[in-house]
Amino acid sequence: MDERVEAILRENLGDAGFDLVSRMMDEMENSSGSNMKDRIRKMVEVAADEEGVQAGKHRTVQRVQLQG
Amino acid sequence: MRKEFRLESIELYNVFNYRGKNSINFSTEGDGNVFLFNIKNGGGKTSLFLGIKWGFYGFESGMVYTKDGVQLKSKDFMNQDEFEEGRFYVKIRFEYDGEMMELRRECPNYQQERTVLTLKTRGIIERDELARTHVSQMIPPDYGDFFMFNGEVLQEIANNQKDRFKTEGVLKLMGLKQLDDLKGILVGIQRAMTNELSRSANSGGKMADLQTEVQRLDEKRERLIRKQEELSRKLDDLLKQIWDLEERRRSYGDIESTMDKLSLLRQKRGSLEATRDSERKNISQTSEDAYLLFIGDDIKDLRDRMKNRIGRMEADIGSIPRSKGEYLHIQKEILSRHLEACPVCRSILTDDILAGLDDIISSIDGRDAEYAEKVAELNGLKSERDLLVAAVSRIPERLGTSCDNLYDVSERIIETDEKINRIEDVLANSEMTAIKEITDNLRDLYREKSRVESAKFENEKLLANTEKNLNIRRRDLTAIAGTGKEHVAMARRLEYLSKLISKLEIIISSVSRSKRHDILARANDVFMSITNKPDVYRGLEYDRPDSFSMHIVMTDGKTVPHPSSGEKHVMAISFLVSLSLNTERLNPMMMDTPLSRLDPVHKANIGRTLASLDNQALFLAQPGEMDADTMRMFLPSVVKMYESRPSEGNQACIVEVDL
Repeated sequence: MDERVEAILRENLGDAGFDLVSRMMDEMENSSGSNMKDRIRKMVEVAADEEGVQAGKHRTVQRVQLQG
Repeated sequence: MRKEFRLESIELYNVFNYRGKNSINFSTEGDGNVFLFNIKNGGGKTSLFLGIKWGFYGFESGMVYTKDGVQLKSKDFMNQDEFEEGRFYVKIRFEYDGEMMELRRECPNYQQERTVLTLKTRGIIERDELARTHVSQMIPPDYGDFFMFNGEVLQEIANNQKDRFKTEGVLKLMGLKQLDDLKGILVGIQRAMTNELSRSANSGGKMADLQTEVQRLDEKRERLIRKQEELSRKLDDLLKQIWDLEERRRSYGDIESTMDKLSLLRQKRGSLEATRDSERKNISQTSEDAYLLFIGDDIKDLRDRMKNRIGRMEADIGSIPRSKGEYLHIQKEILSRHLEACPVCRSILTDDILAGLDDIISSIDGRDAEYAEKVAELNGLKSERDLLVAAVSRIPERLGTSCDNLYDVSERIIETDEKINRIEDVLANSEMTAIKEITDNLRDLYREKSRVESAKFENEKLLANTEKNLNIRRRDLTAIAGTGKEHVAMARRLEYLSKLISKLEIIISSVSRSKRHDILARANDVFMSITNKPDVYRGLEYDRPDSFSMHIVMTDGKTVPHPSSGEKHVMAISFLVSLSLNTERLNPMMMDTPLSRLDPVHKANIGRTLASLDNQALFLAQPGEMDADTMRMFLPSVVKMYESRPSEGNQACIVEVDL
């Protein structure tokens, strides 16, 4: 990937987001068709769930801190 | 940090007319990077170009190889004297990012269209699919499209042909096309997730309405995207048609300038005819008095003498006293009444006084008669004088000049008519109808082009608006969806995906703008270093916001309307060099006969520009492009030179020669 493109992706998406996009682009390059789309969708769902979990943990920590 | 790809050597075996092994060594002691192949026509230059390109890309990458307009297959690459052996290969030794590697692409049997690819790195050999993946990462096919070019490709870029292909190719080279494709896939997934979400939610009027609205907007978006593509294709076709017609019109260039000349001559004739008519009118109005021209001097002389005589007579007449005569007549009247004393002045009137008065009166009466005669004569002279003055004023002094002018103008009209007739004869024999037709067609095409560009612009705005509304509706749909656990998870995923898509759109737009700016800036630098008119031209600008096609701008800001073929080639080379500088790669460039349309100054400047790059540049030229002067100017940029020497039959071999 072009270094400038990589830098801008990281800046806008964060490391996790950049990592996700890189994996999706690798998937695009190495496979095709509905299998490829299903795999990419799975990556998105996992990333979204992971972000939800992290957000949930963050809220729990905040609640505990407030209560404390 | 740019990854460097440096060629060490290339070996061709039985490729085209290169029978057996032909090796080219690229290792050098210094930093030079321009490798010149000086090969005469028919000496295997294009074969060498295609053979090397095939070595890099083969057939599997989708690369197409053509020679004289014909697409080549394996059998075309096979050396004709070695059909019995049936195999050919290209072996490339190179250093990539500090690692020495060897790529070997072989066709074991030219009749089967199958090739074997191996890549050796640090003693480890990768084959086929793995090797292909690795090789395409180092040398992407898009790179070959742009940086291994011949005169035909240069011509296409120079004439802004296949503009969409070029734009997409550049975006792919920058890594943006892949991001755009990914965004497209994610949008498809987003649509599917939205539909699933709405199906799983509580059905209600509002939900159903939103769902319908989302579907409607989605369909509208698809239609607008298809319309955009259709308009782009249409615009490409129009540009190609315009280019073809402009080329044809330029071939009639002489006729156009001749027509301009004819138009000017006709205007001149019109002006001369107006002058002629004016002079004719002058002559007609004054010709009755033309005879006065012949006696004019005499009349003037007579007038002047008359004036003098009148002056003298007036002086004479003025000296005659008048009032005393009237007084004496009154005296005599008084005396004739036999008065001895005047009742007025009391004078005593004697006979002597009376006699004296008579004498005086008769002398005065004589003078009065003389006076009256002289006055009458004077009046006569004055009448004659007035006639002469009137005659003088009627002398048509300008008549002679008018006649001369009329003669001159008539001569010039005849000359002009002869010139007009000669040009009309020439034009009558040429394809006037054709050029008129071309001009009319071009006018219609330009009009249509404007219309399509406007339609595209409006469509883009509509598409952006539709996408914005679609995102809003999708968010609304997510918001009013039900609160089931699975449903919540789906909604959260959909929201995550929507945000990701938005960010990708921003990134693609931002990088695209930035890259376009950088490409233009470097293209300008390169163009100004190559052009032979650095004082006349300011640089290059893009034709349109969505294209990488460029035009030349002069120092006063105006666009150069019809750059020459050579200047277009310089533009194309500037664009390609800039593109190379804006990728993250230092891959070698290869050019086949790129200089044929350029003058020696341009050629030398291109040599210097290539020498200033960090990439290796393989320059395949035929001697016609490189005359003695050009060679002299070009050679300082060259680090190694090769020639193709004929061997048995129609075969050739590459040899390195001294600079």
